[in-house]
Amino acid sequence: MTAKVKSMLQCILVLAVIALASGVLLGAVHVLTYVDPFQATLDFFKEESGAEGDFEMIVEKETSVDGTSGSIVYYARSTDGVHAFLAKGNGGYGGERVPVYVFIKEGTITKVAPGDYTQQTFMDELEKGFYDQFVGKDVATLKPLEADTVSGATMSSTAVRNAIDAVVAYYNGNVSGGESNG
Amino acid sequence: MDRRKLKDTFLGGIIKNNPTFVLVLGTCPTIAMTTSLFQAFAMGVATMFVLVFSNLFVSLLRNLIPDKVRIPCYIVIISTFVIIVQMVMQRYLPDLYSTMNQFITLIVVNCIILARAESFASCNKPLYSVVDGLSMGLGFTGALCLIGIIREFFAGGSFAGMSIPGFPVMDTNGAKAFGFIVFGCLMALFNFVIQKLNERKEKMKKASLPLSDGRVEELKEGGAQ
Repeated sequence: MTAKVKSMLQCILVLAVIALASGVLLGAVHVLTYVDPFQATLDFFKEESGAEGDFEMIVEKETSVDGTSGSIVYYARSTDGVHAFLAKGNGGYGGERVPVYVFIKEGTITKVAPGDYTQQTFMDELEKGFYDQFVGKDVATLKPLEADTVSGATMSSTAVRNAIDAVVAYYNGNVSGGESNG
Repeated sequence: MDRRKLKDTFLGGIIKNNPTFVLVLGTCPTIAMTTSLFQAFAMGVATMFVLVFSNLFVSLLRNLIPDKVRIPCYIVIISTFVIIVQMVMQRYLPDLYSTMNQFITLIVVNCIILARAESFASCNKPLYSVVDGLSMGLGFTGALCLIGIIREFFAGGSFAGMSIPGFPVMDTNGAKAFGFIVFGCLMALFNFVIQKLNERKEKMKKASLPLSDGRVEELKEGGAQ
């Protein structure tokens, strides 16, 4: 074996060993820091809604809602009758879909909260009262698409409207009197 | 263990070779992450963690890593610790992670870390390398926090996240330009102070040197003509 080949093999071996050790270390840290997304969502639902009962996940696979420009990512229901949704609306800035949390109790929206969205500047604009206009509204008669968009965050507010519209359509179509058919 | 070398290494990164103000390394996160004190502190600590551990491992493996593949090896080591920082941050500080994620990823190519691995850790013992990483990290964190305090106070009208009522807030573009101005002014001030300290040190050193006829330099320069 020539010196050149030996040197090359040594380089490959050292690099491979370092990469392997790095992978093992990262795997160990991943095990320690991993959070189950379902459990995290359920915990978030409980924390945000203030519900006393535990949540049960009913929709855990993203589902498009017919006749709307949005989809339901997660839907869970608590034992004390709170319906929690994570929905996404189409048409955000740069084509991004905007996630929104919606909580419903006894047919009334109790809270609307923003999800993780990269265009934080626009979301800050919406924080100034856009979400609050839906709170306290009866889901059976609510028409989210009629809400005014926010100047300076038109696309993001449109996407949020679409997400809430998907929740309203899903709730009215699949959940009646607090009982889920979904 | 050479205590003098340890002391010099430790103080070097904080003052004499401060990575931000003297070596002018890592300017990208310096400008991007100093809009608030908290963000600046978090960025500094994350960089310090990566610096200390990458220096330690580069130093431990310095005799095993062939010269030809040293840079890829350093990058693998550095990126490992950057990903660890990301994982821990995502788990325990999700809000901070969502705002800093892009810049945490960019620590992999932060020139402070690669420069210290290449110029110091690869030719020094692990203890000195760890101290160097710690010192550079502290120097970087200190510089970021200093810029962060000034920028947050004057551009954001708040201190450590607490808003000051009635204090004017700059618009986004103004705040960015102000960041560059603060960085430049602090760099000039820092270098001015270091230069003055060096001049004073040099003067004192000269003064204590004995001349050929037994007198000291101070006498020659002073009123002993």
